[in-house]
Amino acid sequence: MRRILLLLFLWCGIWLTSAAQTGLFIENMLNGKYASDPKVTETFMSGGGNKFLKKNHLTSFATFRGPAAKYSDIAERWLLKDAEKANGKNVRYKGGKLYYGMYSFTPISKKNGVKRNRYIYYLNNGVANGENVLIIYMEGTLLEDEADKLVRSMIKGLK
Amino acid sequence: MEGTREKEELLREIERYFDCQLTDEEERRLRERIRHTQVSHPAVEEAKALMGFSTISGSVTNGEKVKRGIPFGKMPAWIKGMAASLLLLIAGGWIFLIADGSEGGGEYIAYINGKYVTDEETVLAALMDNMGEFNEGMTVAREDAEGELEDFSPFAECVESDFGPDDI
Repeated sequence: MRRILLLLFLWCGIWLTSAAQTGLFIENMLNGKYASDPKVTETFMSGGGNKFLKKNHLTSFATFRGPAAKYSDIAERWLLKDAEKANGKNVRYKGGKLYYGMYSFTPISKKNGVKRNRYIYYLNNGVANGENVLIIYMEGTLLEDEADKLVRSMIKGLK
Repeated sequence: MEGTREKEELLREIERYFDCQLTDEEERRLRERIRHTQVSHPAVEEAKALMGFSTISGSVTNGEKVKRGIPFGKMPAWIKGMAASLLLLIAGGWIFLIADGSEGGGEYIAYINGKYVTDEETVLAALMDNMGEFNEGMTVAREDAEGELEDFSPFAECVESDFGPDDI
C-alpha cells in the first residue's frame, strides 16, 4: 500500500512538471540549452501582459537561430519525433535533409478550458547554401492560416 | 517503591519552593532535580515552566531548545518519499502556473551572443532578426519548390483529359 501511494505521488509530481512544457520534443531546442553558444540567438515570449502576444492571439512565442552545420541534425531529430504527432504538415526535403517543415498539432487545453493550438516552423538554410537553421514555435488560439500570415508579415516589421 | 518516595520528596520540595521556604542552595539543587527528573506530575510541569525548563512549543534545557519528534534522516523511507513527492507536486504545480502564461506580466527572454537578455526592445529586435531571416529563406525555398514543379509542366501538357481545372 505504501509503495502504491509513493508511486502515485511520484507519478503526479512528474505529470505536473511535464505538463508545464509544450509537450513537444522541439522544446529541447528552445529552452536555452544551446544559449551559451555565441552563434545562437534564442527568443522566448509569454504572459498575458505581453502586448505582441495579446495582439496576435498567442500565449507563447519562441524562436531559435543557430549554425546549420551544428544544429540541423539535432533539430531534425526532434522534429521527426514531433512530426509523428502532428495533425497537419507541409515539409520539403532536399539533398537528403529536411529543408523546411511546418507542423500543426492537436490543441492543448489549459486551466481556463481554452484550447491552444501549437505550430512549429522550421527552415534549414544550410541546404540552400545559407548558414543557419531557424525554428519558430507558436502557441495560442490563432488558427493555422493566421499563424502563416503572422510569420509572413513579420518580414516587414513587428509593431 | 523508591520511585514513589522520590516523587513524594520532589513534590514536597516543589511545594516548599512555591512557598518560598527554600534556601538558595536548596533551590539550586531542586532546579537540577527538576531539569533531569522523569517524574510526571502537574506540579513538576508547573515548576519546570516556572524555572524556564519547558515552554508551550517544546522542552528547554540549559536555554537550548530540544526538538521533538524524529529527525528527517531517521524517518522511514516511505515517509521521506512522500515528503519528496509532495515537494515535487508543489514545485510542479508552481511551474505549471508560471508556464501557463495566461496571466501576469509579459515575459521577454532572449539569448544573444551567449548573453541572457530580458529587455523588451532587445528581445523584439532579436525576434525580428530571426523572423526576417526565416522569411528570406522561405522565399528562396518556395521559389525552389515552384521551380521544381515547373519541371513537370511539359509532361502535364501531354496529358489529355476531359476534366479541366474548372471541373474540380
